Amino acid sequence: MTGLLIAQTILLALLLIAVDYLILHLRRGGHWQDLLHVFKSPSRRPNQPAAQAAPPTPQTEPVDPEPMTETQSSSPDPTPVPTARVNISVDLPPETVLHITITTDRLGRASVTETPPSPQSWQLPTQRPAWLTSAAGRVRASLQQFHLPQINLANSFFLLALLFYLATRLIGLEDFPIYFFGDEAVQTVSAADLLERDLRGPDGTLLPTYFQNGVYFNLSASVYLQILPYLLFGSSIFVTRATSVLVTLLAAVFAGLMLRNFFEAKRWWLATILLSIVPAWFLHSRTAFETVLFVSFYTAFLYFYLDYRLRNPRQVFWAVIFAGLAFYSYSPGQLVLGVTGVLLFFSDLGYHWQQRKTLLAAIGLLALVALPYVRFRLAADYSPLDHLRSLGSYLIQPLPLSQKIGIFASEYLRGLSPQYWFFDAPDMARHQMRGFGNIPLWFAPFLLAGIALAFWRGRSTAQRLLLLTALAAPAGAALAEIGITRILVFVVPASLLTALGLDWALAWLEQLAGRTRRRFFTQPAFGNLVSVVTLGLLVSFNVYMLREALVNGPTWYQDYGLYGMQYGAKQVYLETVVPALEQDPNAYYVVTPSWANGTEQFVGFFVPPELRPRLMLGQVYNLLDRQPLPDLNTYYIVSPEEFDKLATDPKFKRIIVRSVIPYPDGQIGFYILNIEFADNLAEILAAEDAEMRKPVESDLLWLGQQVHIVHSRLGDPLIDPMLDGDPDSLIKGEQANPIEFEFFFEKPIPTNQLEMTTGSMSTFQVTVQVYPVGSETPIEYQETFSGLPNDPTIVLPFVNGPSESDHIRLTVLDFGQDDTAQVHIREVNFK
Amino acid sequence: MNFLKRIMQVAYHQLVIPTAQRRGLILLLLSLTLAWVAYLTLDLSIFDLAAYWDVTLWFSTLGENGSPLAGLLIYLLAGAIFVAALRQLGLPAGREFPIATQAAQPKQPRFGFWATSLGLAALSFLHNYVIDLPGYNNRFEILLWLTSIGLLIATVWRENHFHLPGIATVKAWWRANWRELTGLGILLTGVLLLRLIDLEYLPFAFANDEGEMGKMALCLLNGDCAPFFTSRWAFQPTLAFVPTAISVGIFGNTAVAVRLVSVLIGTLAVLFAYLFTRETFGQPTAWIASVLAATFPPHVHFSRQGFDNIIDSLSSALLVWLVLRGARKNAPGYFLAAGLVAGLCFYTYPGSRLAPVIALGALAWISLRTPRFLRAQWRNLLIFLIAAIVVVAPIAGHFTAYPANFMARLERESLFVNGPWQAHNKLEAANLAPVIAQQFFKSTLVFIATSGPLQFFNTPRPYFSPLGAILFVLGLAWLITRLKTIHGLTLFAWFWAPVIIGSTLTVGAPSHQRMLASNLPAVIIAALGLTAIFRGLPRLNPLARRLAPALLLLILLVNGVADIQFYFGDYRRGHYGEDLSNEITYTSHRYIAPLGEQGRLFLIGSPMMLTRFGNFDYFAPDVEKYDFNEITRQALAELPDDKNALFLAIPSRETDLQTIAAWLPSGKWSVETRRYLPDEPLFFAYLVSREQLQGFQP
Repeated sequence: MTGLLIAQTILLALLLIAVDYLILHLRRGGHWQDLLHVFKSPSRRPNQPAAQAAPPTPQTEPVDPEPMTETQSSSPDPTPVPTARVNISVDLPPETVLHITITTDRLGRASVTETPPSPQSWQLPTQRPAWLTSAAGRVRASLQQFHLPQINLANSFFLLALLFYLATRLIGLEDFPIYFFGDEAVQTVSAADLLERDLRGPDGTLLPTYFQNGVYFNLSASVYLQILPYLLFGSSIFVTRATSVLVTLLAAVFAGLMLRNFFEAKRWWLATILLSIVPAWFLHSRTAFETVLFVSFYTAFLYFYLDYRLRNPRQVFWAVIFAGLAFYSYSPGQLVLGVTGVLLFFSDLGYHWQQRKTLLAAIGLLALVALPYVRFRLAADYSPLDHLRSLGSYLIQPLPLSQKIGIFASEYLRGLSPQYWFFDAPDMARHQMRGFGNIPLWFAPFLLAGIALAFWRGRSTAQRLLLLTALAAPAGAALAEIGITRILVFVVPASLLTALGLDWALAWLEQLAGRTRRRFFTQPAFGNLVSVVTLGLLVSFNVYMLREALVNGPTWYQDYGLYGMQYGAKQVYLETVVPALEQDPNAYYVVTPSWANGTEQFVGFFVPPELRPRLMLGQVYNLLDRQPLPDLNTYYIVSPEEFDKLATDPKFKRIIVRSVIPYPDGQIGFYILNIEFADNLAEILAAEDAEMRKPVESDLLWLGQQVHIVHSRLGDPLIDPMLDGDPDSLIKGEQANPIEFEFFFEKPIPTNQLEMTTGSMSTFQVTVQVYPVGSETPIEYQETFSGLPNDPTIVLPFVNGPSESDHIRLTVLDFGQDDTAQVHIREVNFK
Repeated sequence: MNFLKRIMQVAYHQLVIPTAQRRGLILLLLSLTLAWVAYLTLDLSIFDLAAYWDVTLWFSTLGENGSPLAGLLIYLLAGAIFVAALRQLGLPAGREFPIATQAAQPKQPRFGFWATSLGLAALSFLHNYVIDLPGYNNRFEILLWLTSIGLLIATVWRENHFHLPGIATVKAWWRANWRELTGLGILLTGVLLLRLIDLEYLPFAFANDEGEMGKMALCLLNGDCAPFFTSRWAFQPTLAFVPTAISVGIFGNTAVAVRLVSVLIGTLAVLFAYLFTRETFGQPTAWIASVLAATFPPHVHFSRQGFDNIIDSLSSALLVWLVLRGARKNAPGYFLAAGLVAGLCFYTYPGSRLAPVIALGALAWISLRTPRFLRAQWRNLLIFLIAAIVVVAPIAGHFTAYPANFMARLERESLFVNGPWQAHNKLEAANLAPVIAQQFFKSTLVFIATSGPLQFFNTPRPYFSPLGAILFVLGLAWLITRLKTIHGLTLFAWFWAPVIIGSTLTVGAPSHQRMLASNLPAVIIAALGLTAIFRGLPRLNPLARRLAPALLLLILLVNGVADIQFYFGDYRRGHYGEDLSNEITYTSHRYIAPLGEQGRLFLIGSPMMLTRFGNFDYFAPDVEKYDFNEITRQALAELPDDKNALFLAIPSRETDLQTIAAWLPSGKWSVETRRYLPDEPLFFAYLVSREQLQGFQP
């Protein structure tokens, strides 16, 4: 890491020295636009007369003096000074060097002398030693051979960049990132399920738009992309990830092509290799997360949009198709896409109007692309707000609008802040490459230069598009909280802008070197050499990143558990459980699900169907009620925390550790063990159950008075979330089904009806016993509900009175679960 | 007759005073008399009463000696008359400080590392800003910092075509200035000696905070203090301890090694005060100021202590000199140096951060007073700014990442921050004004009228001797009439800024250690008073002109003797600087250090001290140390017994040590008495061997 730091410093120092040269140039009277001159034809250079048509061959001719105009004169001398205007136009064959001398006489008459380069000018001074002359000659000869046509070299470099891009993704693909996430596995598992159900979803929908991942309906294109690889190669980490890698190649390809076709950058392949070495992209493009698909399709969409805008209006259809693919790839990307669309619409409004006929057809295609989404929206109960609520977004929290706007602005700006991008951002460790930042720090000056160039050429559609996409990037993430997966799309404009900046810097370097008038520096070969060195450095960096990731990556972060790397899917299932079940037909495995998100996906992903009956996700506590109790053929895979708990639990007589699965740093990650149960297990369980069923008492201020509540034990000791008027907060019963609440009010309250919002339950029964004031005999109301939407709000009217009560008993029974279930109640109110 | 007549004529010529000057003389004598009366009035007032500092009671006690108001009013009157007297004597109005307003001749721009230096500094900032930056390498960061500074210096050097002076130039310079240089050499030798003599024992004893400086030095020498750009003891950056480390590296871990750094800093501060005064108020004032500074007790005192707060006086003097000289000469080199110094001010005692503020204030005042200054010298200002940024960059990165470290001292000491002191005093907005007034007068009257308890000096006398106090007040009056001038306001601000920010607005006024930067401007102001008098006197008549230098020397001599007598005599004999805790921790090193790795210290020090006090670790870094305050047989038996043990008890715990001696007989019992109070025990020590300790049964 120190080496990296030093290398970055040296690189920065070199760049800064170049900037110092620029400063010197400006201070010596040069114009800063001279530096941009490399992108333009000489005719566009300020203060330089445009070249005009002239005879086809160089000539030496006297030119008549032309008096200086008044505005040009700054001399106090009243006598106008004659100036000469020289028009030069020369047709030159390739690889020609032409020396032109312009001289003016006392009368201001100019003469132009052309001097063809003499062969002697290539000769080294004769006083040099012969061996040196010979060596220099060989070097020169090889350099001359090296001088290939620039465009072919660029294409080759582009292909090389793509090759390295692919290589640095596919090498060690299973080993870095060190985790295999449930969110990756679910793509293949969903694809397999889809095939299993003859291309129908769980609800029978043919080719469903979205697939469920946990509580979210957010998988779509990513699942369909996995179908073919699954059919061809089955499910494996490599195949799942490699599919994603191949899609990301779109981003690498179109980034380069964009720079070539629309920015006219000389070293347009820089975009590809720079994207390849952006650490955030490096890491995520080696996963099967949906976000990388979105970024890839989004890049393709940008390319075809520019193509539509600048070259061929009919390319808008491709833009719509890729926009659609991006839309269906990743939910948080939808807003980014929308914002981008709006910005581009207004940015190029005039052009769109000109192409209105084509656009009308494109809108038809757009409608077609939107159809699956519309179908899903119409059919499903799931809404984007549900997604935001699951994410805990501030948008659905009871906050003032001004505060929400403030939070949005703050998050949005954080998504654009250099600190977030260039240093280790406070993202989850599993989304970072320690020490690399999300974007390498040495990108910063080039990125800045790229931004400056884009601003300077703001009238250019392509440049403007880059700035607009950069601004649109944080829009989706800012709705919840900035996180690298949600804002990953920013790497595309960042890479392109950096490539523009670097290309400019290299061109300027060439120009600067050319001013030394040394022959070598004015040859195209020098430009090629600069390209080779640059590509070499960038590729080396890419390889270095790969090496670091594969060698040191496993120990960058030491938290391998749920809130860290979630390490172990491959090790637990592929390397432990599956071989063990295959070898021992009597073995039964109980695997802890607590160490990662979505561990249920690993069963479908890794375990062949025939072995799945002998595998259970859970813990030994889930088996305590089995008769007979599990024997020593049952193996438990537990985390170290769970092991510590088991070791001290009197319910278990003996814990026999059979093996361990270590983390990459050598710590124990999982224990594989057998358990002997205590002889008096039943007594212990009965005592625990009795303890659990003891009601709990709470006192709080509610409905304007002090209320005493006797209720079932809760997961969280506070009962307030159920009575705070916010249906987004909830309480969970602790092994209490039915869950019971008995309210004692100081003063009677009106009792016309019960309004209650619960968690999602298929069928449940609500019982309310309302005690008239002063009476010991309640009036009971009971109703069973089923088929309600998620988190339903039910109303139970007290049609038989009483109109007031100071004592109410409420019971909720979930028919879909046993008596240890956690019943969720979001809100209760008596009216 | 003719002879007598001639004598009479000569006498008349020598003695007669022209009418206008006569009035001036009378006013001068009146002002001096009034100033003397004011001094006596203040001296006779009882300032150790709480009511003395209560501003709201001052008018009701005006006729009594329970407040300083009467004395201050008389001083005010004396000052006004003094100014009038000088005008009557025809003292020329002070000239405005000349500032170069002609832009330097443009030179062909040369290649320079402007962007590289700034860019590397920015990188250095970032490296130190990012917490736990992977790959952070301490040596590399130091190298990066030095490189950015070196490149900037090289750039300015090249840009301005600097070159080292040749031997011939140096010789010519010496020939032209040898008298002044010799005099200055003699003076600085005197300054050095006054700070060096008996360094180990005055002030006595070597304080634990000095021990902490020594500990940091050892830490640096042992290579344990990485990263470099971070805050360490007392929230000071590591660089603050480098001079001490060098000294300790050369002289070993002794008291003198730590204090020697302050001696050199204090001496250099006087040199730069001389240069500043010479630049602004002329050579005579500079000489007088330097002589006054040489013996000025607070400056001598803090130049002899191992804390680094004396650097405030050096940094402020150096910076204002560089800035004003640079502005006068339109010299980029001075601005470069000023920028470097300004940046370095953030690496040392927090009080030094005021110096760049004063310098910037001076530059702002110059630009306001001199219309074409900015146009002529904007490049210099840019150099100043860039240099400061480049130097400060890495530590700024650290402070940005840990703002609490930057603000720690302020939050701990400031009146305006909700610190423990405020909580303790239940200070509320309603009573803040009287408190600030009290703080202000405690901070200012300590220069001329009152004692200054505690705060690392504990002086029973005002900073100035009676003569010095009068000269200071009169000089201040004279300075106020010249506030419009660049150098006048700079000096004024230089004096008041530390007094107000360092002491008035911080707890425990007068905070001697936090207003050290005001010491040198104070003596310069006193020198201005004296110079003014002796510029006016020669205008009376020829005799006065001849006697004036002798009188001036006499005054300086009297003042110097009074200061030296006070600090090396009264202050020492009165044990004002002594502290039992410091004395124990310092003196005990003679017992502890010889233990080396073969012994352990068990300190019975509660409630006075703990083994983590700085002196223990500085003087005996190899000895394991334990606090051992619960004296039971069981506790004794549980002590590690594989090394010799030295039990050391403070006086109030003598019986506990006797108990241990009874349980572990045949050890070696020692009593150490206080150095300057030999009748009082300092501590008791009891040394037992490893075998004796192992033989103990609970």
